[in-house]
Amino acid sequence: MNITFNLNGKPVCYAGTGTERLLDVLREGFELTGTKCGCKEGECGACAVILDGRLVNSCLVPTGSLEGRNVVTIEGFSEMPMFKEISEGFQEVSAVQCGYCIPGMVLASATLLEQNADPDEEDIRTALSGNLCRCTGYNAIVKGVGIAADKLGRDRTPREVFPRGNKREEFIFPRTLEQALSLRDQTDLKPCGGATDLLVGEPDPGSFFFLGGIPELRKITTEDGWLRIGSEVTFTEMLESPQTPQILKDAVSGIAAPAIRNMGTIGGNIGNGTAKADTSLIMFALNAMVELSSVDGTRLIPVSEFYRGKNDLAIEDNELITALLIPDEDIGRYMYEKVGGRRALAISRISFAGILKQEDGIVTDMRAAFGAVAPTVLRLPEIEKKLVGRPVSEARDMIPEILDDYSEAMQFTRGRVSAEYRKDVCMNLLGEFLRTRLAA
Amino acid sequence: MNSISQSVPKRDHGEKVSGRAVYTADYPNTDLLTARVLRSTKPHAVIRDVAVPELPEGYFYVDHRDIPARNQVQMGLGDTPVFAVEEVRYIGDPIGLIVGPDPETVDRLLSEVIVKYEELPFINDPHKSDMNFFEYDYGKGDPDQKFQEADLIYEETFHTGAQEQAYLETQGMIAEPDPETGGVIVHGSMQCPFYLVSALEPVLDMEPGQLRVIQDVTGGGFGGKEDYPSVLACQTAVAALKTGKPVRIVLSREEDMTVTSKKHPSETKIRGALKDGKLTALDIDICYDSGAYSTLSMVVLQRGIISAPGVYKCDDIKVHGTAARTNVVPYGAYRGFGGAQVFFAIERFMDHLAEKAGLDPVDFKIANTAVQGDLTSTSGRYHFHVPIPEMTDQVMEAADYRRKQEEYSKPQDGRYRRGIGMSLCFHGDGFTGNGERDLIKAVVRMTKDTDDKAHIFVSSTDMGQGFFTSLPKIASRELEIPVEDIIYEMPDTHKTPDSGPTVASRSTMVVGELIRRASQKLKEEWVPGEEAEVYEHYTHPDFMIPFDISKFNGDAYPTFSWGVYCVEVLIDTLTGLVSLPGVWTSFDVGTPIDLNILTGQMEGGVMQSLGYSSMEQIPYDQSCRIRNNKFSDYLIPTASDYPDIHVMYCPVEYPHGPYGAKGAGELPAVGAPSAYAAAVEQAVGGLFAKIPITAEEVLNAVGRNA
Ligand SMILES: Cc1cc2nc3c(=O)[nH]c(=O)nc-3n(C[C@H](O)[C@H](O)[C@H](O)COP(=O)(O)OP(=O)(O)OC[C@H]3O[C@@H](n4cnc5c(N)ncnc54)[C@H](O)[C@@H]3O)c2cc1C
Ligand code: FES
Ligand code: FES
Repeated sequence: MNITFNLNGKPVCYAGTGTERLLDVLREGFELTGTKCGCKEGECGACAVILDGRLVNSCLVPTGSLEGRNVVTIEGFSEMPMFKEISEGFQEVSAVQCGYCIPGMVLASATLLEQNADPDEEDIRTALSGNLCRCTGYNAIVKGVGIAADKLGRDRTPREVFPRGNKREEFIFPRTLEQALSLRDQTDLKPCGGATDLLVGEPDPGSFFFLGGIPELRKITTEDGWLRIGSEVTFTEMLESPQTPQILKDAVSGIAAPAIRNMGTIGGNIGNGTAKADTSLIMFALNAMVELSSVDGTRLIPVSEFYRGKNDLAIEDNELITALLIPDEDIGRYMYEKVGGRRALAISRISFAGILKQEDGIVTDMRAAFGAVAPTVLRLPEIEKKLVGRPVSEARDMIPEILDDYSEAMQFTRGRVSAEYRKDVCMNLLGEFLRTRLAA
Repeated sequence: MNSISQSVPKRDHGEKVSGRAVYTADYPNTDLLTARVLRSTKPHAVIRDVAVPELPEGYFYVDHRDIPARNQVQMGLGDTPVFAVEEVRYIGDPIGLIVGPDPETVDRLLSEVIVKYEELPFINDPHKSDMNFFEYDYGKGDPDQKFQEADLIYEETFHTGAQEQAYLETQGMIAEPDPETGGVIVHGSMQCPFYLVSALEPVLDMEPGQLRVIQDVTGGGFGGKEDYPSVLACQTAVAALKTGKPVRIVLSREEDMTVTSKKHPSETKIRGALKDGKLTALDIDICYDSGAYSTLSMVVLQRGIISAPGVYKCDDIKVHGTAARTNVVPYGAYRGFGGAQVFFAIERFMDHLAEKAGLDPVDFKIANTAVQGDLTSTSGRYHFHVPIPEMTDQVMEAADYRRKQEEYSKPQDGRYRRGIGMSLCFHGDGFTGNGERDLIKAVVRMTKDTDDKAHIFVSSTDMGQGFFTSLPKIASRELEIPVEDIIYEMPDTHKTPDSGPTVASRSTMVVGELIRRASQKLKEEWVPGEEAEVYEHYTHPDFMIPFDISKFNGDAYPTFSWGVYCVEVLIDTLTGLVSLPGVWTSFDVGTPIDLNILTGQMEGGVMQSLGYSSMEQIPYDQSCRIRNNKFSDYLIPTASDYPDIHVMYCPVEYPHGPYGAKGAGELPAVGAPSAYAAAVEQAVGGLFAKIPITAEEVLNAVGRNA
């Protein structure tokens, strides 16, 4: 296919199969080698570029998703507003050591400063958390971004620097759900959302079709008592939407780092089939439904039934996930916890979500979901029910019994961490949840 | 503060910040052949057969049969082959190359090569090793006697894991035939250009005049680009000679993490005697897992055993060290060079010994710290002031250590608990023993041109640590001309004399001093508008007590750089996760040559040291395969993991370094782990004698000590 997009402000055309990595195309096709390769799996940020105003890792951007969009690389940015201040900020503290991470760092800083004139240290660290640097220990870079913010003026009104340009849906194919469903029906092509799972590894050339151009899949709406999150809504869009429940925002803000959150979608997170997917845990806890569509129609299925086992989903070959539906209700008190190997860019080793509702001193609902510890997210409704209908004080007395029930019933698998550790942490978190949320 | 310490803009800032700097992988593919390495998939085996598919025109298979002379990469005992011949000794051992114009075709052809192996038993535990590459013993005084007289004897065994350098730029090299000399030109990512010349000479049987090595912009090294670039240089050079074309190898991240050297995992057993509050004897036994080939293990082990007694004065010691062969990746240089392992051990030992004796660990350590004039472990001398006590005060004050230490030692309840710990270390500056005088013999050259610009010619590389900026600063100061008028180009072995490898924290102290003296000479010959040239040769400091490596006796280092660390932790007792509210450090590296650059070195080094203490792990599976060979598995700290690391200085000027500067690069990466472990220990109880410390281990300690 021929893909036309804007590269550093100029229209370019690329002939490929759609599955090439933007990183390779930039470096080899366009000889823009300022974009570096450090891992090809989304983990280092050395390949970062700006796509329609958002930081993304170009190693995980398939060319087929680029039609009509705007890409800015370090070469382009170095001639744009803000570059000078960022460069000077870095220079004043000698933040550039080996330089390999630096183009990515500069672009990550730029997307932060485009939107936030007055970032504090934590804002800066979060914005840079997907860009590994082995030389500096980050301090100097963080300070450099702060200096750049000073130079640009901390009381300025942020304004768009990067081109957003045309709406995706005007260009990309398929443009309608109908087209997508018939592709799904008639081909073996894989549905591609943000590609943050699909492009980790080597896909067969031309094996994707892209869902990013279908407007109705990119919306969050409320209808008939349900919050409907279209499958192609990205993590960042969920964080930006006032409609997203806080528990989901808590989980989503802990996913990876900005560049991955800018690309990864909820449909892909559920569609990849693991119990480590952070939104999957929340969908279990919220009693969400998965909306599946095909040329034959649309059906809803509870998320707990959608996951049958590890990488075993109740989805037909001709179906697409088109939305996640969450009951539009007040969930009362909740607790969300994620245990990963570090504070950003970490896949869950254990995750927990608990929800507790009480009315007039009586427990009306209790839910506890455990992620990343078994082939699917675990929930044990039989035990949950035991607390429902009881006065809070009585329920509190039952905590030891409930913990014993869970301890007996749950089976843990070992992974990066041992099954014993998983069990200990799950029991600790559950205990904490019950003790702190079960209160008058 | 000496005015030289004032920071100037880094020379390479502009090209790096704008993405214009050209690294090895950035040279265009046109006119270059891509080589990919056929590697062993077995930890130990005899190669029975290599079946290479039929190759299209323009594609080549290169292996040991194509080597013009010796199949041996010059390092260690000479046991590292350029390409394996019959036997492979670790997963990743190179067997051959597929070379050709189109990278994807090369990949496909490589995947079609079939190697038949006859598997041999493999060793993944250094204790079960059938061979020590190196084994050393040394000692002094009468430790047995001191043990008999002791008030208290304490013994403990410590473990440290492997650590991957994880430079952001993976290793890469390009070799091309040089029609002018009939030899080769090699350029790539490297720390030590002349090491590559020495490696290529015997393999190609060529004169140094036919071997030209140029450093490309290098994306980090940390020791990892000290030895392995020699392997890549030999492989690409053999391929370039066979194909008659430029050939490039760039390792993928997975490949780099699987096959290039890392920090040696270690076990250190320490037995020590205490009498009247003083450390009176030490008996130390160290074992470093060396992996499949000897590479740099000799020198790493030497530095390890020399540094093993730490900063303490102890005149009755016995030290034994081995570097054992196993069937895993060959371990080699990592910033600190054998120091981080033993400082973890001795610092933890001193903490635990103090606890057993009912003494405050910091007071106990300070009371036993060597002072100027005391003997070193090898009966050399601490010729200069040892600033550890002042540095410790400085750090304790900044961290509010005493108050916190007292507060956190009381029982804590609630979900989160705090702890705080301190550690001390040194790094011996420059090469061990007489290396500088007998092996390196550094030479620098400077010229001036008719435009009155000065040129620096040294083989010292900048891989991010800032040498391209600090060296011209020194020359500028002496020549009294603007730093912009000093030209320092990428090291090229045909243009620069051998000023030695860029290792051992030696460059500023040794090469910097040579440039200072050369600049003085050049100034004397300075006639505006005329050319001039000067050379300057290394001179051994006259105060040094000659070092006898066979006895480990004398001054192993002319002087030392010192470090003090304080780490505070906050522990989640539900998950075992550790976060760091604060890290405070003080360093003596002599006079800072550029404060920004230096602080960048210190912060980066401390961060690596904290990663080493906590999240960085290299586990092997049952078939001796590294499990964490990707950035998604081998976790290094992100910007969100650690707080702003406080760095302070306590400069003790070294008269033989430029303006009093000493070594700096490695020191920060040496000492933090014990402070980290001590802090965890205070928060949750128990004894932490192993790094990395996992969340699981922390949680288990919480459970045990509830
Ligand atoms: C560095 C890094 C860090 C990460 N960290 C986290 C983390 O902390 N937590 C976490 O949960 N995940 C994490 N991930 C995983 C990933 O980002 C998420 O799973 C993401 O949600 C996938 O969405 P996507 O749109 O990119 O999916 P894609 O890669 O496009 O697709 C993923 C899978 O789902 C299928 N699929 C996509 N859309 C649909 C659809 N509409 N219908 C049916 N099938 C579909 C695809 O065919 C594919 O099999 C990380 C990934 C990377 C690279
Ligand atoms: S190359 Fe590392 S994130 Fe893309
Ligand atoms: S400056 Fe080297 S990785 Fe960041």
